Amino acid sequence: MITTKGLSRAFGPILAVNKLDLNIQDGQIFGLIGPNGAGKTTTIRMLTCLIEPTLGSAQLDGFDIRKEDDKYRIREITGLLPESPGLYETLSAYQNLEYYADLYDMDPTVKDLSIERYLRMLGIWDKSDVTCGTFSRGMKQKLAIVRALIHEPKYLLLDEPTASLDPASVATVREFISELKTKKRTIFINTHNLDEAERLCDRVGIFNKKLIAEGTPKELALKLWPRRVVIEVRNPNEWYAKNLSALSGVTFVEATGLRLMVDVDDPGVRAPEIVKVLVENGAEVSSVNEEVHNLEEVYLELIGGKS
Amino acid sequence: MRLRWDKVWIVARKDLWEFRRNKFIIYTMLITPIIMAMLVPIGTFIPLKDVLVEANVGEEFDYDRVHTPFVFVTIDQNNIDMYHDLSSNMSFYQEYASIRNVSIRSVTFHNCIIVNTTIEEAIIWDSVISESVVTSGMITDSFILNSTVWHGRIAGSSGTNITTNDAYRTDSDLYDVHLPAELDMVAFYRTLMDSMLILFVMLPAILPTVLASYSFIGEKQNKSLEPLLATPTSDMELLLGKSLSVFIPTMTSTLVAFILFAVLVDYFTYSFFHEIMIPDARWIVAIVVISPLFCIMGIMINVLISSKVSDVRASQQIGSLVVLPIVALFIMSSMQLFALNMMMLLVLALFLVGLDGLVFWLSYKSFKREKILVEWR
Repeated sequence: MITTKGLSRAFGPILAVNKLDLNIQDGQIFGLIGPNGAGKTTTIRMLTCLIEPTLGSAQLDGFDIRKEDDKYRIREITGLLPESPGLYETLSAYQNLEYYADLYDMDPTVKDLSIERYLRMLGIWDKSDVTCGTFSRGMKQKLAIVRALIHEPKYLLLDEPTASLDPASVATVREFISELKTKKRTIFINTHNLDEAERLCDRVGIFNKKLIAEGTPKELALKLWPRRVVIEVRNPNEWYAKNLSALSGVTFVEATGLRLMVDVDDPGVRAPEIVKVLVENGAEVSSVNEEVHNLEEVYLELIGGKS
Repeated sequence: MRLRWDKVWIVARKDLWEFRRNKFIIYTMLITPIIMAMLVPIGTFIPLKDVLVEANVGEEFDYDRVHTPFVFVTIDQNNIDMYHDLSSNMSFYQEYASIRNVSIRSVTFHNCIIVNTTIEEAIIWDSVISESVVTSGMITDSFILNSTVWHGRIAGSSGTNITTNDAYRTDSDLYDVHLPAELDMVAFYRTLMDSMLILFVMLPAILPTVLASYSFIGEKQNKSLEPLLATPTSDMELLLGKSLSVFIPTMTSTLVAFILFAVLVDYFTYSFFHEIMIPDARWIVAIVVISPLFCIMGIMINVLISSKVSDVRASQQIGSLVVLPIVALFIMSSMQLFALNMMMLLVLALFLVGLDGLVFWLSYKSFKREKILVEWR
């Protein structure tokens, strides 16, 4: 479990992270979403014991990032993918992985098997002796993720894993990360790619120097907007709206053209009732949908207007 | 502070992998010192080779070379007991020839007893010289007593109460020698060897500028430091590992260059000095103690520079300034402001130990994870 309590970091007079409180359960994929310069990288660096917090504390698996002895334990159980892959481009894929495996004190036999397994997973086992400089950016990024994974860390921290990649590479890298999701490991992703966060993350935190909101993408949408059923009818009539507002559980009704927007407490229960009332009143209902707010709308609502 | 040497080696090994892939670095590291080590002795001793060979008066000596058409022999008082075939050979080559009270020029003597005789441009070996004056002679394996040797060369001989001027002596067991001036050849050899000695201790301070800037700043430019710092490796292990990866090739190339240099110098000078001149105790101290200390200094200064500079070229440029104090040492030595004797070398070693400690402490202070990520530009 990753917990942070009032985690703060200032660089001189500039406050990069302000009193961050997080609770990330094991086995989850957590996405920290925020604009550039929001302090996401600083947060990841604090969690991997690369820089000290100015105030507050954080614990990974019960180890305190501020205790000197715990730092080594934390580094052993975490794997970091920084913003740029930082592979040794003159060395081979195998050497890059071997270097890190050795730094993580891996047993030699386990190490060899593990490197082979991951290189096969990436489909570059036959190129394990080829210098990394020749690989595509997407492949380099995947290799860098594997490098962070080689010692099977409990916590994998990815800083902007798909930034600066072309769409095809983004897709392969994302697919790769989602494959890792099946394993029992906690993944912490920094991203400003909302689509990615929505697809990959169990929970997200909207973050700009401080945590603005946290929850599943759906929960966040619910906090911002009431649940809404959108009904399309072939024969609009202003009477429908008046009739629907009288129903229990309905908080707001708006009619625009062919569409009726009905805010309800529970669409699962209310939608059939609404349709029933409409049909009884002679409406020809062509479609019924619950309005879904994606993470992008949530993000823009929370951050977009402000920055 | 945590320090595991196997981790240090893992860090160093990776850098060595990288250097091995970079031909340019290998060339700079190895070829420059080797060329220097070869060119200096060849350039210095080949022109001297003739001089040195002439001094080599031994069994294999080519007698014809000293015979000239203008050789003449003056025998003053006809007190020669025996001489052999003077007209054809012009050599006193007989067993136990005894030459007394004569004045002789351009003659070779072997197994002679020379008493109260004035000899010019002679080659004398396996002989006894007493109460005589030898000018421009070459005396080898002889016993010299109460005599004066001018501008000559004495090798493998012994004797007592001798006055010499400008005579080169090696391997000789001479007592009561009156030496009016420092011997040219030996003095020249000493100066040359002293400057080479400084060059060899300088080398390990200069060579790291290329490698160290690559090892530290290269990693910074490549942005590979951050994931590295996130591994369970202590700052000390990283610093030592990276330094070791520079130290190993630097000292290897210095040693290879030195061995080559020593072999060449000894090859050229053995015939003259009749002993192996390099390595002597001074060279051993210089190569085994002082060179590594300079190497450590060079590396640590480069670490310090790396913490302030983000460009490999800028770092190399600044790093080359490390040479300045050593160049000062070089100049002071060639101006003979001090002698590079054993005492001086030990003092220098002690001073370097202190200096290395200081720069190591400073670089260790600058080599902290947080500083590297936040402050290193």
